[in-house]
Amino acid sequence: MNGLIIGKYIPIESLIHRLDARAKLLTMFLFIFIVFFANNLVTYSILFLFVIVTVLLSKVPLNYYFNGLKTVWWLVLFTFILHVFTNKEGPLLYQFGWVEIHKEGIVQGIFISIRFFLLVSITTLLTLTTNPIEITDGLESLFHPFKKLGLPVHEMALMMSISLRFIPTLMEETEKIMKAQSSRGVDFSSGPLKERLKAIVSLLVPLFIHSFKRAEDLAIAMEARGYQGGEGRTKFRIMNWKLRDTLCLIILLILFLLLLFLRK
Amino acid sequence: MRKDSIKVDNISFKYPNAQTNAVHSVSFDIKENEWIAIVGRNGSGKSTLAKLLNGLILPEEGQIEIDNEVILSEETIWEVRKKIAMVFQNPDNQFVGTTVIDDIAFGLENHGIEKEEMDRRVQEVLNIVNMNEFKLHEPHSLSGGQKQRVAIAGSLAIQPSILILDEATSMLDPFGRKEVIETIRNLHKDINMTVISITHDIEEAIHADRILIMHDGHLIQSVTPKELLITEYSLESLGLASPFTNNLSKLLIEKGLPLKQDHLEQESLVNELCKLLSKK
Amino acid sequence: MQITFEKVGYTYQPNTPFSYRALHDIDVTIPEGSYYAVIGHTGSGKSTFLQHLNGLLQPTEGIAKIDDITLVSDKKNKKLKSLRKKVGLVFQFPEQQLFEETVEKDICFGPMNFGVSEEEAKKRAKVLIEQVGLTEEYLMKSPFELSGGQMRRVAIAGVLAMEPEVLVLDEPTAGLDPSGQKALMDMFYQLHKEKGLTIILVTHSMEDAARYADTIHVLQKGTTYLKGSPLEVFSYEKELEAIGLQIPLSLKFHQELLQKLGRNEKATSLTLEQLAETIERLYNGETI
Repeated sequence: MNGLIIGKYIPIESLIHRLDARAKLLTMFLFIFIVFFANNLVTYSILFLFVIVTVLLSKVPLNYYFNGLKTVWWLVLFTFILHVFTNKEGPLLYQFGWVEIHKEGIVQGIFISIRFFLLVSITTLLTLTTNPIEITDGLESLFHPFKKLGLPVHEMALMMSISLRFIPTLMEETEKIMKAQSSRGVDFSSGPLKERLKAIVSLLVPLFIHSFKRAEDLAIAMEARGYQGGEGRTKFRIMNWKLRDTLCLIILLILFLLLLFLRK
Repeated sequence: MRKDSIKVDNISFKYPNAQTNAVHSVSFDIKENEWIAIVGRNGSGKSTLAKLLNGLILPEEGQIEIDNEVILSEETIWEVRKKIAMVFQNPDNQFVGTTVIDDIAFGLENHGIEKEEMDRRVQEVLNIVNMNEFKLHEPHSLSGGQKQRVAIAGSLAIQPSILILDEATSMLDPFGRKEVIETIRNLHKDINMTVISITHDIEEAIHADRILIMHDGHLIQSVTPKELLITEYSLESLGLASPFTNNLSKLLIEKGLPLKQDHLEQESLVNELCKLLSKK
Repeated sequence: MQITFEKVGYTYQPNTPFSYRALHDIDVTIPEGSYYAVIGHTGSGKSTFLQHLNGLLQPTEGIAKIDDITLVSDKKNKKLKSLRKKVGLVFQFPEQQLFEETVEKDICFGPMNFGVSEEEAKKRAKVLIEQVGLTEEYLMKSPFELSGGQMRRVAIAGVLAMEPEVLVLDEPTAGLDPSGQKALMDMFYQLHKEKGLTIILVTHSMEDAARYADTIHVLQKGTTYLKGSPLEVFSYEKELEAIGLQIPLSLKFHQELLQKLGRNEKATSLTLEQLAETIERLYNGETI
């Protein structure tokens, strides 16, 4: 189950870890935007360099990044092959029967693969170096202006943090129920469709019912502890925007300008 | 003369769709710094009573007065919740924060406490319940007893005058139960907290100053722990385990030994038996 | 059917940075029809141990033999399903596994998974619902309209309906009120005596272990700390205290009484009833 989560948070000391979550979130969003402006070797190389440097600065062992990349390798391969066989621009390189492979197909295929690599790496970088609760706080802060437009920012952030808190608990509960039902003869991994459906029902019904009870108990407890919605609440965890966070965004701006200047 | 912490005057409550009242004309007073245990079978109304005291439900008749100042009503609920804190039965289903300190701070955030004051109080209550070394731990790495101590800390942080424990030890293993009961005993002693504990656990009830017995929605008796042992109601019918010394005394008396029945401590029973057996 | 463990051990997530050796050097012999109590704190390895009994886990070290089925590291055992029918495992808070529309259907779920016909399963449900202390009218109710204690009994009936030869109970009375606890433990003991059911009980209650068990096995930090008959194990009072366990109250009381009276004999009262009898005999001047 541990491999499922792309880049679980690794709490170590590094420059990237120390950056404000908002700076990292903005970096991620902007980077994703910027990536689409790269279209030649120079621009892709610059982005590649940027990612490598930040990955190294994060001091997180590289195999965590590889694990994140592993989850999408098949998608990358598929896209690559798609481009190679369908892109008909540029000089023809090979031909067998009606299948044609053009130079542009290969080049674009490579570029798209690099793009995937960059996007997955930067996202993994965010989750590996930022505590989930910091991500939630960061999002809540960034989206705060939208509150005026009626977006329930505080409520959504609270929902996210409560969900995060309960993920390990729910996983444990799922495992426990599976074991209990296996002990009653249920086979979760093989058997005819009808039986497997029944197996899933025997797992989902208790989970759902407990979740409802849990939600009810939680609501009562929150009320007893004085929760009345977002109005008048203060914050325990505060974020400190530092010079390094501003510098981070400036670097990104420079990156963008470079790309605009150096692209084809 | 000690102040009244809570004054309950003739309250009644019926759940919608129920045939009879869950709580019927109940009245009692609790003085400052008293430790009251409320016992009774499932269905006796004790849990409903807990919810009424905290304003989670409001009485249909009668009134509840807190600290001789505030009468509980829809308008005053949030004020009352600053004075009365409640710890619930399921350690997981009241743990909101992603870590121990975040959960303790949750109540403080709700009450709009300033950041510096929050930091100070969080540290203070962590020390009181002895969870300082776990402050950055996530809930799933904590035992039931530890989670309940965090819940108690979270309650203490808002500086209430009254702490209600609604079967807070019933889902814990013996070790956790001991931890929690000891924490509460210390609270009661060291910071003069008024404690109301709704419980099945005779060990918890026996430390109280007074025990209120609920049956079928009525408050039928208010006794001291010693009196509880010789009450006409069997402890079993109240959902309590009879203490060892009590059971032994009963059996021996049945067998014809002339014993007193209200020993709270094992030692005193041993001593009485010694005297008895040495005479022979 | 006998259960034998030879130097059994279990490591979670071996060969990863999270690897954790939960169990090691476990030697166990549980003869058919015996009552075996396992005592240990959270983290002692007891739930890992339990899960080997019906094949939910397979040892990473050593050999576990349950009846004619051998569980050994790395060898996928194909007879797991028949093992699960023979060894019924009741987890802590078993009411959490209820899911069917009616109590009857839920009780029938287990046996039917093992090939029992619906008709036969319903017959068993009828008998068992009374055996666990409820009445036939509960069969048509939804499990979710019952109280916690009633749900627990339905869940236990669901495991008994599989007609296992061995019953493994993980703190079956946790969270119940005192009269409920007594009723349940008495029921299990009755099944044990009447049907020769082998019972393996994981408990925190030294009193229950003293009252019912032939053998007590104390686990600490993943391995055996003490093992033997109740009186044998309880003779190591200091060692038990060292890991936070007390000897049963009856035994302790008996010891203190004998000490205060200045008598030399060894205390042997494992239960309240035995203690009362002993004191009565002392009172009547009989030699013990």
